[in-house]
Amino acid sequence: MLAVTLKSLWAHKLRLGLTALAVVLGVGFISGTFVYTDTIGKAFDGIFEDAFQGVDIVVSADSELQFGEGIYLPESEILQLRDVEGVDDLIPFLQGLGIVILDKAGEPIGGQGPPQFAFSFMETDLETGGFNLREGAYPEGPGEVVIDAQTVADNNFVIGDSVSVVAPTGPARPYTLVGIAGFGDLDNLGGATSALFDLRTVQVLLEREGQLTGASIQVSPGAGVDDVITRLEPVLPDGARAISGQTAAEEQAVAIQEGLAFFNTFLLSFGAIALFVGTFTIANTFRIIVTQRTKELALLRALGASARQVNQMVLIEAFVIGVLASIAGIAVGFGLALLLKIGLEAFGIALPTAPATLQPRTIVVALVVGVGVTLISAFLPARRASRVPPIAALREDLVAPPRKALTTRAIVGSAVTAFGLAVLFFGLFVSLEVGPPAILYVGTGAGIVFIGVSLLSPLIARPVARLIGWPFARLYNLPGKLAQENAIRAPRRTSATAAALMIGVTLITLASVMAASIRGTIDDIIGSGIEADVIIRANNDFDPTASFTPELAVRAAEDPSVHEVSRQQTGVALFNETESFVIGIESNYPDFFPVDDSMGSLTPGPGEVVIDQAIADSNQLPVGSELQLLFEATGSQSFTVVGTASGDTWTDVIAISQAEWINNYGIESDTQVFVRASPGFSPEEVETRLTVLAEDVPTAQVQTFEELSSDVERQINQLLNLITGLLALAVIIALIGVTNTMTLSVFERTREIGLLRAVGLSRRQTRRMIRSEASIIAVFGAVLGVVIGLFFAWAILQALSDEGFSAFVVPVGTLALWIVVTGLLGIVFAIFPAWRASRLDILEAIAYE
Amino acid sequence: MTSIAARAVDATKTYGSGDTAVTAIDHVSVEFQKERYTAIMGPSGSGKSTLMHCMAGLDYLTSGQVFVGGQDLGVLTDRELTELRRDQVGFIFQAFNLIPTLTALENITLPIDLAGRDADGVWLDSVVKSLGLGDRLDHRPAELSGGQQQRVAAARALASRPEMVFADEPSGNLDSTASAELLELLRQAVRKFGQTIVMVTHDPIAASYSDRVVFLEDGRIVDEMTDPTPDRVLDRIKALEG
Repeated sequence: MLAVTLKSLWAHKLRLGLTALAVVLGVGFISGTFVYTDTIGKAFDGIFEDAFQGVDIVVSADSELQFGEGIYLPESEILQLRDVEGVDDLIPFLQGLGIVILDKAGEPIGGQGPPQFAFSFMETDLETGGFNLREGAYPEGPGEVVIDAQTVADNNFVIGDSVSVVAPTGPARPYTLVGIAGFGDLDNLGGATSALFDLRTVQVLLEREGQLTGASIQVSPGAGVDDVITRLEPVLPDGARAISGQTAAEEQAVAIQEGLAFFNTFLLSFGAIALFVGTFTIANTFRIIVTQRTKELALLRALGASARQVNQMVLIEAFVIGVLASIAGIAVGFGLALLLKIGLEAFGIALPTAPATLQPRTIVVALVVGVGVTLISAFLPARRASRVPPIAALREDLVAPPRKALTTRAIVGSAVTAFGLAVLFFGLFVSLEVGPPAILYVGTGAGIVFIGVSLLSPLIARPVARLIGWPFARLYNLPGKLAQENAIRAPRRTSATAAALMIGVTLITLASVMAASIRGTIDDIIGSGIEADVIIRANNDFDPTASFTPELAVRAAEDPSVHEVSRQQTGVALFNETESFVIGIESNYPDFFPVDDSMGSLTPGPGEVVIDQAIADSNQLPVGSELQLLFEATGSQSFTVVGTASGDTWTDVIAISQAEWINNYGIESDTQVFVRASPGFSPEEVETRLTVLAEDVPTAQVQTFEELSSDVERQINQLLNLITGLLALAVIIALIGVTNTMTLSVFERTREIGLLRAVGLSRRQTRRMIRSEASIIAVFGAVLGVVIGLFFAWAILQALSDEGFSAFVVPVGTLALWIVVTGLLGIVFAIFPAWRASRLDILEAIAYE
Repeated sequence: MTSIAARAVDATKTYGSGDTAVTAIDHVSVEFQKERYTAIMGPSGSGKSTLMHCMAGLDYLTSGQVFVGGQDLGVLTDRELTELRRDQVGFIFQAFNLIPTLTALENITLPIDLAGRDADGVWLDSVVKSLGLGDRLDHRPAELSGGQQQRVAAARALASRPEMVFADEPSGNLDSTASAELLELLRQAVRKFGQTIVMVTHDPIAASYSDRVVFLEDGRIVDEMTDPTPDRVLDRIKALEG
């Protein structure tokens, strides 16, 4: 039996290749993700090993509470550790975020994702693999800076240049570039910009005089690292700890791995979607192949093969395809990993490189997933094959085993769809309250709905395909009409092929509607929710806590065009064990942000907090109750809830007074300043005037709310494009399914096409006929996808309405465009089968058997 | 009655090359007169189907020429051949003669629709009527009997008033009643409508409906007969075989 299977496989190489392609791409994406993240992970491991080489002990803040910028330690107490027995050398260090280097045009460098660091940097006897001076001198004194090699190269800085640097608390200041640094062998830290100064200068910049992030210690010759740590522990300042350099390297590596794990999961989920679509494509291909081989299978049965053997034959075929495709997929994965790397580098994100890493785990996952998906896909077709009766070999009319009636299909399909919807809605509306990850339920539910709808879709395939085919029949006359009829003739095949496309289009629709609705919600807030004309905000779209000097608000308030300003600070604190944004507000804040409804006072005083009504409800925190916030710098603090507010702009708000905020974060810098114009000044005039005032603070930008809105739109579109790009893989796999189906259909209809050619269908008309049919199938899939996607989006937005999503916006133009594009792609992916159909040998096609 | 609808001049068709080459038709010259019903007869492998395929523009000759309506088919491109088949030639095959997704009427007008022309309503009516298909036009092939399907195929072949109709064992899959009906209708098409039909068959009864029978053996024309009867044809075949 095995020999028969293998021979049959080899005899149908084309069929084999087409089936395998879907698996190859899906497995390729998954193994590519693994190869890429493993490679980066390994490279980072190497960097941190090097970075802590020569450092015996690291003193730093206890990192368990670290979630924001870090905790600072008192410099005097750290320096006293030099007196501890066994400490040979101690180098204090300080690092911070939000230190922005300006390019030659005075514009901020970076801020589009990777952080902007400042580090203290000094010459030591310690041989560390961290930052090292490549050229020039170490920075000394308040006027000197060293910058990472990548930033230097990107901006054509040369040693001796005057380079401006901006801290959150002050305006831009010029520094002389005295040196260029690398981090180990790397030119920068994963795309971040790094400005290095002497310790005093960093302290001034960060407003952390007398404070440190930690210190590196080298022990005296002969002293044991663990012994010294034991001696250090009793004399460490509060909140500090001492660990060995090796432990520090390991911790850093683990932190990086965790960061990569998120990235990995994000990419893998798109790979999983692609493979799910692949399952549909492969199952459909197998089903068609089994139908076409009915005679052959029946002959085997007539010659004595058992139903079981026929079943196994199909499954063995699937297994072989699965193994071959998975191996090819791993190879493709290597290529994709390389492309991913090149792509990210094009965005200026230089991640460390190591030789491409192929872990055994990657191979195992690729094989298990690839073979598993193929076998699952072949399961039902194999069962169908085993039911081919031997008599089918002898009788002309009995070409396929009888199908289940469509009513059975309707019942099963409806049940599956209903079950999927139940899981989906549980995830959306119930699990949110209970706690387990809703996304798991939503994803599973959506997957089940896809299966249910694909079972149901043959029921509507006839009328819908007729409707979609109508323009083709009009445009191409007879070839169009033939395509329309062909798409209708095999509703199961048409639906199964379309169902694979449906999935990708559903997800793209979902993403588009969500993006449009988020835009709509934000427009609602900006348009009606905020009683301000102009906003001054940090020039960083990625870090909500990015801030600028409070000096700007003072200047703005003095300008005659400005009637009133309201400052806001934003920081991170732990509330209910989750990281939350805590804002500091002024007493006029409620005038700028009108409420729908409120209780108590909206102007928090010392020890008081105002929160979103929804937060108060879900955490049982009525006015008068106590609320705990855990700050990095000051630890756990108790606040009295003095007021609650509801309204679009108050969603998720936890607001304390400005004085309290500054106390708990130890820094005074604004994240937003809201500005109301004086009578007689338009928002544009105010913007122009304030932009001039903010010229020396390039880390801040002045915008009208109209500009803010278009900025937000641009950001959302970027994210949407990224997600759409990743979902394109699923669409491509589904389109390969279209190629598959059409190729097999052409094969099946050889005689019919031959007859048409004989009576005068030209080659061109033949190609048109096949391409039109493919296009009808593709549009059918796209229409299904758009409908289901709209429904999913509506359901999700319903579930999120508590979170402030007020708008349900359908981007009609975008969705219509997607349907048209899918139809055109259907034509493109049918070029090959159409070409084959037009090249059929007419005589062979119409020859009698 | 003497003008020529199609002719072959020194037509040769060889399959394969070298030692394995098979000559299907071997220097055949033959003329098919207009408004006549000609049968080509011969045993299996005599080259009768190959001759018909080459005459109909479905296959190319190795050497020699074929003309349909005065046009040399050898100089035509694939597109021109397609147009010739569509406009000047009608086909009736043994089996699988209709497109299953189209109705009887749509099948009949298929070549006309492919050309993007309007059907000649009066002509179409008379063809459909004479073939007894009037009440079957909205049916799909699956809803028609074998005889009805072949009559639809015949109607399609006649619908565009082609120069020539080629029929390849048109009654091969039919029972004797349906077969007789179809063959009589084809003869009427020649008599009443002045069509030209060339039919390949190995059935002496089918051949007896024609005006003239051409006998083929080993790729060569070996004999001819006008106004045949089944018995005469059978005798001739026996003589040829003996």
